[in-house]
Amino acid sequence: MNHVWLDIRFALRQLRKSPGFTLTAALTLAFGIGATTAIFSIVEGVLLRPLPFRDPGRLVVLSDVLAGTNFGGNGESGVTIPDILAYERYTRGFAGLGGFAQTGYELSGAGAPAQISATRVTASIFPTLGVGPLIGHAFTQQEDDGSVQVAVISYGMWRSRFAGDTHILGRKILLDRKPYQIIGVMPRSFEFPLVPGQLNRSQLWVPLSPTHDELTIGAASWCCGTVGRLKPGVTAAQAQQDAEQVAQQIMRGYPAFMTSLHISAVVHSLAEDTVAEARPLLRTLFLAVAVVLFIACANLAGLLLVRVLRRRREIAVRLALGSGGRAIVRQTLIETLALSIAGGLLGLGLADAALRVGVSFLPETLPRIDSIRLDWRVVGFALGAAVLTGLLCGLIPALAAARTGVNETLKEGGRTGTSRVHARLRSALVVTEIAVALVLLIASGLLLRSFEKLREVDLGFRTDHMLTADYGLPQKQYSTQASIDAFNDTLLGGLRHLPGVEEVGVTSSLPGSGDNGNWNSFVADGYVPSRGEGLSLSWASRVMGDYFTAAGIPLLRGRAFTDADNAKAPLVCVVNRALAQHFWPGQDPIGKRARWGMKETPTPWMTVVGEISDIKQTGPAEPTRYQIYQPYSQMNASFGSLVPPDSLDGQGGVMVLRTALAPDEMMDALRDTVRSIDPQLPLTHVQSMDQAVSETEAPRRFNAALISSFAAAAVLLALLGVYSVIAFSAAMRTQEMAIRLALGSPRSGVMGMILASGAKLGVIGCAIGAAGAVFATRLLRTLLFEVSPLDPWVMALAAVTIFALALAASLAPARRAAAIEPMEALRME
Amino acid sequence: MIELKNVERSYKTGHTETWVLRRIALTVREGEFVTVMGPSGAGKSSLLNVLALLDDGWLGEYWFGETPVHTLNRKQRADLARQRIGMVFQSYHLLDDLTVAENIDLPLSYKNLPAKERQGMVADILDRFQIVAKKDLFPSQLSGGQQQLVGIARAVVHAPALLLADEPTGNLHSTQAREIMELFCELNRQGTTIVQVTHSDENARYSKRVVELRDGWITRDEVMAPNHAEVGTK
Repeated sequence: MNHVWLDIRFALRQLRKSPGFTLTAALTLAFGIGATTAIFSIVEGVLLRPLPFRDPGRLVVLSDVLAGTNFGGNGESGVTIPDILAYERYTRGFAGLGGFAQTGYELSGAGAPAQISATRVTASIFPTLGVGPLIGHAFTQQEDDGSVQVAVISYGMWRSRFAGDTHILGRKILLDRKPYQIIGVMPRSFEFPLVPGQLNRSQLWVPLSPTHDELTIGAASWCCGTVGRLKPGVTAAQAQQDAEQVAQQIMRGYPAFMTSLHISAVVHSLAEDTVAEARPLLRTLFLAVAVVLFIACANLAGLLLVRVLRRRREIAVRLALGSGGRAIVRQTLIETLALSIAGGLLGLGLADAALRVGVSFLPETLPRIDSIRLDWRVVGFALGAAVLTGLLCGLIPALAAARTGVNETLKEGGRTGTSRVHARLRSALVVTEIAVALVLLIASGLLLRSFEKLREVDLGFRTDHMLTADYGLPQKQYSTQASIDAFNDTLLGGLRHLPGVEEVGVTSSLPGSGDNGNWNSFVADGYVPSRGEGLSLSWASRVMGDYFTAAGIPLLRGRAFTDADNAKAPLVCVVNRALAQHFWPGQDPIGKRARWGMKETPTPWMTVVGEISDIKQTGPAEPTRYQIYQPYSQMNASFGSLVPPDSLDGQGGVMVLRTALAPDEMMDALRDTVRSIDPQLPLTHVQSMDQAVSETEAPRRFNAALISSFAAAAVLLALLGVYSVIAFSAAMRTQEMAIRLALGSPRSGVMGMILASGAKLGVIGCAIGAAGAVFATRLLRTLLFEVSPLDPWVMALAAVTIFALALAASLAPARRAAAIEPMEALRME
Repeated sequence: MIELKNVERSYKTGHTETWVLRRIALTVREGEFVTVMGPSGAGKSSLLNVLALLDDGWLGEYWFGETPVHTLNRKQRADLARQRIGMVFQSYHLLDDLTVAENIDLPLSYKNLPAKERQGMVADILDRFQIVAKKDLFPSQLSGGQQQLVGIARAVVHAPALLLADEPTGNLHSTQAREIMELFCELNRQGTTIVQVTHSDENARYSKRVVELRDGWITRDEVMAPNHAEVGTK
């Protein structure tokens, strides 16, 4: 123990003696460990930490898979409201099962009116999740069945809107201007459903209380989700078998207009469902940051090797005086550990700072962002990583130190020299650094190229000079079609007359903005589906005003909608080119007919009056889908008897303004116009179309930016490694260079030799890195867009860049070597 | 062959200037074998470095045959040295990672000679110095004397007009030293002009002329009696 204490004191003294080395080594490690810890805290918060529910391992998601449909994602369709009730009632494998539907409300009566995200849930959800309110109680089955207007609010809303008022229970708020009574506040950690990002997180929960329409025609609307708790001893597979029987039963009860639909039930883990989409990104990030840490370690190991070489004489004297090899290893390792622990603590500070700043920049595709923080597990990881890297970095130099040849070192009289083994070891470290840096640079190149490709995608409409804003009319105030129509007419008229506005329209779903929830099946007149072909699904959009011109969507044939296409006029629709070409190939689609539903659904035909070019409705990375547009005023009529006659339409959508001025300059005028019609009506997502499209690109931009910054760090560290190895070996070869110069070598020859050493490291590193990239970039496949993981241009450019930078890093040592004065160098010998 | 006129060399250390060569006037004729002697710090090695064109910081005039070295730039001086001068070092200065043959080839490799020609020249010198059997060995596998033999072979392989030797036997025992000096005599007989720096009176006797330096000044310049062949046969 005494020896260890002496070694620690000696190590600290040695480190104090060389502050430059100590600072460089500690900062290198701090950077590596800091970045790794920050990313680990995200991985831990999102992927590894158990969900904030009781016994989360037993929680599962139960969903339908609708045969013949492809909505993207995991292929599941969710469930309908009648499904929720059937699964709740008839399944036997669950200790509890509840359903939910995400929605949005205009919140008023508590501060400024705002559009908020909320969830309608069955009363069984809270017991199923095993989480009760922090204050008050959750709603009961009776309250759910009786459509009692009660609400449980989130901790965040309680703190921000009600200043944490402890007397909040019983207080009334207005949701879509209907009074709801607050009966509970959920705990801080409660989040349900666990949706990606922060913007769409539920701020309150109200009873599902299905309406009559939802229980009848809602059978064809897969708008909801369920979560269940498996009974003890029941596996997900058994629960799925059980649910499948209920699904069969549900299908037997389908109304006549749905008899061609076929559903099957799937059950899988809620935890898996929550993080499945985030996993590839986080795995890639963690690998990228591990590469940075590895390179930092390799650099440190290189520095330590040089340090051991410089201390050969001291070590030889120790060995000559009777020190054992183990004692030398221990002393060297203690010094490295002191460095690495200092680096770890610094790194922890850096990670903390990075998280404080960085969490707000995390992409909206990431779930459970609130769980990301530095807790004891993350601190443990950072310190563990520090000790481990210290041991790994220090072991090779320590063993090299223990093998110092006493006789030859002392005979050399302290002359600096380098053994071939040491030189090879340092070269091997640098070659590895170059190789892994290249892999990361290729990954970064692929993501940047994907991003570039994504930006090159022709969306099919003009995004410039386009201003958009969401609105939703509260049902309480706009309870008649006349009041809704009056609002919309006034709105369109008011906006049209604004100076700087060229065209105005409204759509039910904004194109290119990532909205992916508006699919309807349809039948095309005269089209005979091939055997095994699934349902014909189209993106269904309702539009108002001069939407197509406002959105810059070119009309290829026929006409756009006019005011004459009203509720009483013959039903009309506009289709996109992809739909026309698939269903009526080689024919003029104008005059053809289409209707909603399946062949057995009793819906009226709509006549195609126009054909537009294909547009990217769901986002630039998504394939072009079939699209059917219809006037808002004809929507209810187009569903025939499936929609009750007193149903309303046109209660909300996205305003689209084509402006002559910059969209930002028109925002206030837009808000003023809406306020002049309804002062209380909140507008959300008031933004230019360029901003809306840019938001859908944000996750990819985030991936590309983060991986690129790690790649830049990796390349920088690898270049430092190349520089240090070449500079050190050039310094060690001073005598050789002096002899060569004395024997007549031109200085350019000496420079060439040193550059050749750098080039050799670069070539070997690039060759190994390129081979590694062939395997490693496969992990990126899901994050790429129209770029092969083996894109030859990206690989070649990255390799040439690394090689050129390795040469550049060798240039300074090469110039130094070429400037040696042979006379002085040889005299020093 | 060589004429130095008023050559001076000094080094600055801090604020003081230390003179190592003072107003050197020296003429070395073709075919001479000159020994430079003197105590440590007298300026012997500095003079040799000036002669070898390894040093650029001197003042005065240096004529190499008809060439005014003092007017040449660094590159021209390096070219001249590469063509006309061979150098033998006290510590041999062989490159550890090269074999005997590769070490000898080194000065040839800087002359843009065809590889075939170089191989022939290396083979000749290996044969002349009777070290053919050692051509593939590395310096660490040779004795000190053998290493210096290779050093001399490397210095003369390109048939320089002037061979400069800085304490060529300083690291050798007496038998090996004698052999090296006899080799120098032989090269001198064949027409190579030699200037050596040594502390050893014994070695000096092999030369035809001794120049002595003290504190940077030439204090003696004496032609020796022609007995070096006799010494060489001792």
